[in-house]
Amino acid sequence: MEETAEIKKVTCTVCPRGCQMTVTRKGGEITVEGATCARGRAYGREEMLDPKRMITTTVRVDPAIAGDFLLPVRSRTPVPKKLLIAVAEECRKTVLSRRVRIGEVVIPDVLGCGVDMVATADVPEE
Amino acid sequence: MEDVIVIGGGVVGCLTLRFLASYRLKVRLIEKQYDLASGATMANSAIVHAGYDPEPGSEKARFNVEGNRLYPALSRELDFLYQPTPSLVAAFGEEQEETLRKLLERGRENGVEGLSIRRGAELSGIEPLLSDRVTSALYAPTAGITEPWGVAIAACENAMDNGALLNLGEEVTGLSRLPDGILVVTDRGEYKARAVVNAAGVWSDKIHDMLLPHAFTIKPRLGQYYLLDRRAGDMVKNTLFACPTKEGKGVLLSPSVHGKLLIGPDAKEVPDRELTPTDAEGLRFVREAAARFLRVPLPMNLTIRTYAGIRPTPDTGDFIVGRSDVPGFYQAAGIESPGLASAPAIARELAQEIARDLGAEKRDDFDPFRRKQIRLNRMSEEEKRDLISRDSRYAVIVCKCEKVSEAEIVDAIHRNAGARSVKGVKKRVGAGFGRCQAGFCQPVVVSILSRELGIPKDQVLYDGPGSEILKGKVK
Amino acid sequence: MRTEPDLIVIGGGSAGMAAALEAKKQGVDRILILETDPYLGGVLRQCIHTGFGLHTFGEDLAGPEYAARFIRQVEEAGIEVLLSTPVLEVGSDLTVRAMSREKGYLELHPKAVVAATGCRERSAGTIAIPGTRPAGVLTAGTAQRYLNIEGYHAGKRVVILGSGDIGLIMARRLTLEGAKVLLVAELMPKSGGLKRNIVQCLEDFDIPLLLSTTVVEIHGKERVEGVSLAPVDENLTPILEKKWRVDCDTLLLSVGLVPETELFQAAGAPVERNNGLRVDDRLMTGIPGLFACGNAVKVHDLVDNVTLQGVKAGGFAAAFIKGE
Repeated sequence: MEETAEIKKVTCTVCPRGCQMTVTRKGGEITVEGATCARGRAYGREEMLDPKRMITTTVRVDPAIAGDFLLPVRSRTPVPKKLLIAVAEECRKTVLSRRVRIGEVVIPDVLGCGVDMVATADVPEE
Repeated sequence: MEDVIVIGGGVVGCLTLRFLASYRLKVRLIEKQYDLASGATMANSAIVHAGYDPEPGSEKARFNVEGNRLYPALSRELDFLYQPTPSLVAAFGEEQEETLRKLLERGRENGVEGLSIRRGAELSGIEPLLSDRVTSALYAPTAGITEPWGVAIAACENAMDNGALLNLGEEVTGLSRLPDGILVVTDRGEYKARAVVNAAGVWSDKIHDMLLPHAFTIKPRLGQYYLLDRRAGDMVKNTLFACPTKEGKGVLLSPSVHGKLLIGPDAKEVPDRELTPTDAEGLRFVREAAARFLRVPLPMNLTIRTYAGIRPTPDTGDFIVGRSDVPGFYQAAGIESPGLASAPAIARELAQEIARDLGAEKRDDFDPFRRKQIRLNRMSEEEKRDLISRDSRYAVIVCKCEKVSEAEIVDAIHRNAGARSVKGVKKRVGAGFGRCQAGFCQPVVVSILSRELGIPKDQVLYDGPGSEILKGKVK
Repeated sequence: MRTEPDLIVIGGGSAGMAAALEAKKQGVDRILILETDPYLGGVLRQCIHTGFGLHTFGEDLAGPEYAARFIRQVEEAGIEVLLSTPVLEVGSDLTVRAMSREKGYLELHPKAVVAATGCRERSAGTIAIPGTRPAGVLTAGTAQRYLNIEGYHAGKRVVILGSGDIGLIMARRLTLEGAKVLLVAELMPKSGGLKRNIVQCLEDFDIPLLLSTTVVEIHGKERVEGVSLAPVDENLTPILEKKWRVDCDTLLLSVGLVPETELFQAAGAPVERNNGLRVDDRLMTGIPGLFACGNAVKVHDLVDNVTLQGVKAGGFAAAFIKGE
């Protein structure tokens, strides 16, 4: 029986050029057509195997510490695309009980995906 | 038992309440909407017409000319924005000059002062950018411009400062005769009053018919406008009209009291009395009709808002003002253009009539002056310096485009007839009225309203109930 | 400030901070940044997404992180900053009048001024969408502030008009926070937004992007109840026979940005058609000693380029002050 090929159209987001790539998976083999650089080819591969995205959102801090302030956070590195909504939900449920500075980890290893969520601003004093 | 209940919180109702408050009378205003000045008063041409347009002998003619004369003094007492701004009715070619002569005659008969027909080089002295195609124009130096909602709100506030009562968001659902007055039934309760004034604008026929046989019908008409930013504001020195037609005074071009340029309106009969949608066709008509006035193109790229306003046009062709066949039931109905100009005269006369009928004397403790409203953006450098040194809260600017301070907004919320919504703030102090249309300041205004009214931010209204701006906390 | 500043920078966003830092580096000691808002960094504060700093720092930073790096540099350089201090007037002789609760009324006479006032969003009023004027029509940037700073939803069922980057970014943010973005309509046959944003903000969440389509009517009395959309022909005129209605509670606008330059126009500085300040090759405006940079000149796609232009303007202003 002949193996079926899985084909994905991918717009490269590595640089603003936005190459239109066709990524094909057949058996264990992945081919990327339409990429114009090595980074693009790598991106195409990843989009087929396990697409990842940066995620940014906000986290509530205990009002006793920071009032209405919302702390902006981001993933330190991209997280699996399929977890985006779940990570946002996790952040929505989180209430930080301490004052953090920019760059500090807010949620370590979020949803066990191996990526930390870090603060992108200081929780203000006062 | 009240002495007088005024139905309708537009410019006519509010001014009537205010003149009534100068007598020994217990007065109350009932308005269906959440804020004053929410109907015809909110969106019109804002012109205090000179009075050459109405048919001599009509109620319109009499009240227009009288009302126009009352404006300067009234604007000082009530501290609303008013600016004498002459009108020019432009004739494009000789056949229209006949119309100008008729208007001139009519104006003189109505008692309008200072009218003259100007031509040629004279015209460019009066209006430098006027099109060469304008061959002559009727010049009316007694006309003015104002802020219609500002007049209504100031009048109501002053009335309340003198003891009048205000019920907002309450709809009159029925009227019936009592031996000694009228029973006013609303969606919230009942009031007995010795006299009732029908100043219900687009609804004035319905209110009338609650006590009297049907006598007139309001045929609401919609007029659409463009508002251009300040940089276009000084393009015209006068209000420019074309010759009137059966449909009305047509599209005009006018400076606004906020230093902007107002263009419009068209006129279209509509089925709904409260919805005021704009439409592309009408806006195109307004653009094209306005383009002929000047020798330069209108900078439509400076548009900051388009909107439409409703007018309570009666099928009788004239205002319906004064006593009716039901004792104690007074009309101020069908007050379409020139209603804004006429409103002070209508209100004063009605108040006099009612006071006479009820045997009420003038109060000697009536204070005709409204507490001055601080308007930072109209102050000289010296005045600003002085104000801020006395009260530094005025240095906190909320609306960057119009330079409105937080202190002005807080004051507008806590006055009588104060602001309770974002639009209410906009009406009273002009925050959000500028080129960014509240993009920058709306979140701040929402915060201030939330704090001053003691309600959560997501209960702050844009205008009426159901117009909450925010849909709940994110987390 | 007891002595008069040599340089006043109007606006403490990315352009203004870069200009002030560069002027300081080039030996201008007395520099004053005047900022209307109570914080430095301008709109970056609410731009919590990443994509900032790839050129400047070689890192993919969130907006607040990018701003924080410059705010720290401004502090370390000892540059004086007055927050909550809107400028009321700039004279053609460079007299600057401003005020703040803390400092009262200020009249300053610097040797040079840098205009770094950024831009504003085009509003619903500007583009004259037909229909009613209910609550629930707002610009993407205002919704961004409500969502990211104030912590409130501006809407739960959202149509976005315009595929500018802020609109795309907001489509993703709203989706992540549980709102439903029904579609993005774009008048032009092609989106002006970055490719990356179309993929990561729309395609990732299956949000349709309708090209050559616009909103032809807003429905609703108090709150938006829906909008009518229609395709447009090659002259961008809506084909009304093909219009259809979508029920929604919010219309978000991402229909362009306009340089915020009215303060300087009042002083007599000429602007280009885009409302940006006209500048020469030294970034000087039509008023001698008044320099301009960032989105007050032209709306930039990338903050890194705003910073670069700020650096240049700061350098030219420094040279002007030193009489070079």
